[in-house]
Amino acid sequence: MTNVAFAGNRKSNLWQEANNLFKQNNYDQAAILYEQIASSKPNDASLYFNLGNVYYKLNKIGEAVLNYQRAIRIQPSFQEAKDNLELTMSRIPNRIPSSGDIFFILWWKGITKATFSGFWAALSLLFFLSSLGIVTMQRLGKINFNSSKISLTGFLFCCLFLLFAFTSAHRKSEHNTAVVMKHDAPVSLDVSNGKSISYIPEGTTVIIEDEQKDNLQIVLPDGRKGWINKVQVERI
Amino acid sequence: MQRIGLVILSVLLGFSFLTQAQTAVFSANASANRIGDKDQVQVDYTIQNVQNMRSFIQPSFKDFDVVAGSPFSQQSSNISVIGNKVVQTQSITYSYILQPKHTGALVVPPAQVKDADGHTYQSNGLNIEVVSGSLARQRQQTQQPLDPFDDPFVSMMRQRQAMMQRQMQPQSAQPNQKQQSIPEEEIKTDVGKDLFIRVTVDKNKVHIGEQITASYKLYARIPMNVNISKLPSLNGFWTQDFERPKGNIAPTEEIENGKKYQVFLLKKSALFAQQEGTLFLDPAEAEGTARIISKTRQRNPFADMFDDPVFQQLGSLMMSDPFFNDDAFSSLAYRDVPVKLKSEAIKINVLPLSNTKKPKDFGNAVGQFTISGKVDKTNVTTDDAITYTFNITGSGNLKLIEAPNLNLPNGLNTYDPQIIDTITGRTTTISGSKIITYSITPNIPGDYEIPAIPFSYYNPQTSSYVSLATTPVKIHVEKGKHYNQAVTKKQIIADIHPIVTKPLVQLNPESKPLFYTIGYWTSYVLPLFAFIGLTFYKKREDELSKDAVKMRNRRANKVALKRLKTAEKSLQQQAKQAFYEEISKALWLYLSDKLNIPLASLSKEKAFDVLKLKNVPLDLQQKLTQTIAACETALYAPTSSSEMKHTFTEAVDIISKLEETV
Repeated sequence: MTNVAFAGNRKSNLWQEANNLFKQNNYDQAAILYEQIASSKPNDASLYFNLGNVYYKLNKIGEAVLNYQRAIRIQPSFQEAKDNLELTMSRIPNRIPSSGDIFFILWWKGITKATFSGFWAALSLLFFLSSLGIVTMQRLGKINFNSSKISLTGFLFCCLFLLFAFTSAHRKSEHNTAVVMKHDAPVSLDVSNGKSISYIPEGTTVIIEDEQKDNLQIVLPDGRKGWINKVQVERI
Repeated sequence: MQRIGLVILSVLLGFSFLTQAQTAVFSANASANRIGDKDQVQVDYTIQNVQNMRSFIQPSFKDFDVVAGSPFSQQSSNISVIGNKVVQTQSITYSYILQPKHTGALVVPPAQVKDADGHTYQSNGLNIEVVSGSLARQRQQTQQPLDPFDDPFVSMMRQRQAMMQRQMQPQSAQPNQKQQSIPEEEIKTDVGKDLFIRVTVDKNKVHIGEQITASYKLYARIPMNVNISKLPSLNGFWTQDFERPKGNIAPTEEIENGKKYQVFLLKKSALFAQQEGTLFLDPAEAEGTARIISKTRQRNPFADMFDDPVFQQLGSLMMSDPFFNDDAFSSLAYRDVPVKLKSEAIKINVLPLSNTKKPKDFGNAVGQFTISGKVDKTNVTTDDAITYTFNITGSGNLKLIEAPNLNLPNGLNTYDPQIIDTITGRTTTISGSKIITYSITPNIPGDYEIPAIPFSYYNPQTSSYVSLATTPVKIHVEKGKHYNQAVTKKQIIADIHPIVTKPLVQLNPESKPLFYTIGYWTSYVLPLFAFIGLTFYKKREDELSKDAVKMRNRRANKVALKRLKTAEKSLQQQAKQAFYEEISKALWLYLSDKLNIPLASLSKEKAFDVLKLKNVPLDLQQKLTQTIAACETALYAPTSSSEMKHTFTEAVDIISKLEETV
């Protein structure tokens, strides 16, 4: 326990030092300190936001986008991070325009975002327990009215929320979004065929669909699909 | 004029255009600055080095009638090799012949051209003084009569022809003599002294961006015909040529080492160093032929006198003086020899601008400037665009000045500004203006202030920085027709939001989703098990109690039969009291077990209620009542053995019948 507390104390010292370095425009040093804190992958959006800012100042577009995305992943309501991400992405040369999702996919994504996983799981459990409670009461003859419809609806809701919980938990645990970290990363149509069909600018956010050895099948922001080497990207 | 007769100079036509190819120049020139109202004036708009020119926008001549109806353009291009680069210079001239409408100081407006990239270039305007009457005749007298169109080349060609003619005369009278006897080396040394190119600069030590005036001059004291073969490549400099005198290139006279030279100004440029260090102005080169005049010893009366080596030298100096030669010695031999001329490279030390007190907004401006900034309108809607014009006027390295940033508040947007450089003065310093036009689009309604634009320059004369600033401009923006809040919200911010400094809260790594934890599923499974367990327990309980009833029911018959057997024994022994007791017990116990009524709460009424409920036939009920009553009375009244037998058979019958119905 004391060990954990000591580590936490050291991290907050590093954090303050890094923030001071940033204010003194010493971005190189600040980046090193922030990365030291980030090495244990703490789940604090502020850290990744500041890291993004450092890399933006150092003009490392790929790293900046990656860290802003990480911050938003942890805290989807982080408006400053979204603004900074948008600004950073506007500096990507030959940026691939995003095709955007259809409204119901957007709804689905909104309902099942990673941060809701706990909420859905709890809600599902609540409905399960209440419905079970109602059934038990009925069995014991404590309630006289016919409650089977209520308990049935409760169980249906429980299942629905369980589905939400499953999807968002999947989204939370699975890192299937990645950022292209190399400039003009080649993308090919086939795994075996190394002929590149396109070159993706650094800082492009892609979705990983499949994995084969060293290659990943990705979906580009405009909906095109292709294979890319693992070393070119970093998962969020 | 007559004295230059011996000197022939041919300059390439393209020479005057041979500036740096990258430098676009757009200038207007008039054939005269002062004309009579009956005269015509030719105005030339000359565009140099504008790539992909698209359109020429004809100025509106308010004060003039255009005599030459449509403008006629003249295009020329020149390819030359400078250093190891091929430079192509293109120039297009649009000419108008104009007739003034009235007298006074009239203005010839500037013209504009546009290129494919969308740049707009603007020429300078011209002021022409118009007096009444005609000045054309006077002007022709002052100018060269052979030079109607002010073309230096034409005039030079004519001059050259005249000179040649004059030269031919002595030559034909005295054909070349002893040409071969003169050794080549001797000629060359002579030529070097008589004909050379010299580059002069007004200063050798400058700061970055400070103007240096470089003059390329040809010194000659013998007849020659020279073409410039190579102009210096001015690497590291931004150059701007000075305006050369119009028409004939009139040589000046200069005395060098006691000798008189004709000096031709080939080129005069303003140089602005762009980098610090030691820069070299490469030599300029020229090729051509020079006419060497050598004495003929046999016929020259002074020849013997100059045999003495001391005099020899003196003599050669005298001999090569064209003035001297021309008049005095008709017996001299002429010879055309090829010459190659090369100026000396000039070293220029470029000092960096002092870093102390260097303003933050310094944008490479060196010279002397004034600035002004204005907007076209201050009350706009979100549909409009505001044009902000920032004007830098003065002398110095105009072209190299960086456009300042506007630092607009959030809600106002601007893109890359349009920059127009106009060089108007080319006399002793390069002066003009740089007009930077920003197009500002307001996105969100509100009141804004376009902040003051700071501008600073280095004044090399006082060796100090001067900082200027425009006044801030207030802008009021109203909602326009096409204003869309949603689009505006997505507007990209100008700079990133600052870092977060609040302490880190969540230092632990990302937790596993609740969904994947055992605890979560346990909280599903445990209540479920509890429920299932409870259900089973309840079921078993129910079943168990149901079994007890069945057992007693089943037992009822057995018990009754047992009792009836003991009653039968008592009947054989004629034990009256025991018999009726047994019959009564058998019936009551049977009813208790069969009807599931505890013995304690068993009464006649209750028993018959239940029997009624179970639809037992009435006669059977009556039989039961009679038998129970018989048992009760028999205990106290004397009974016969036949009565006892009857009661026994009745009881057996009741039990067997009840067994069937219940």
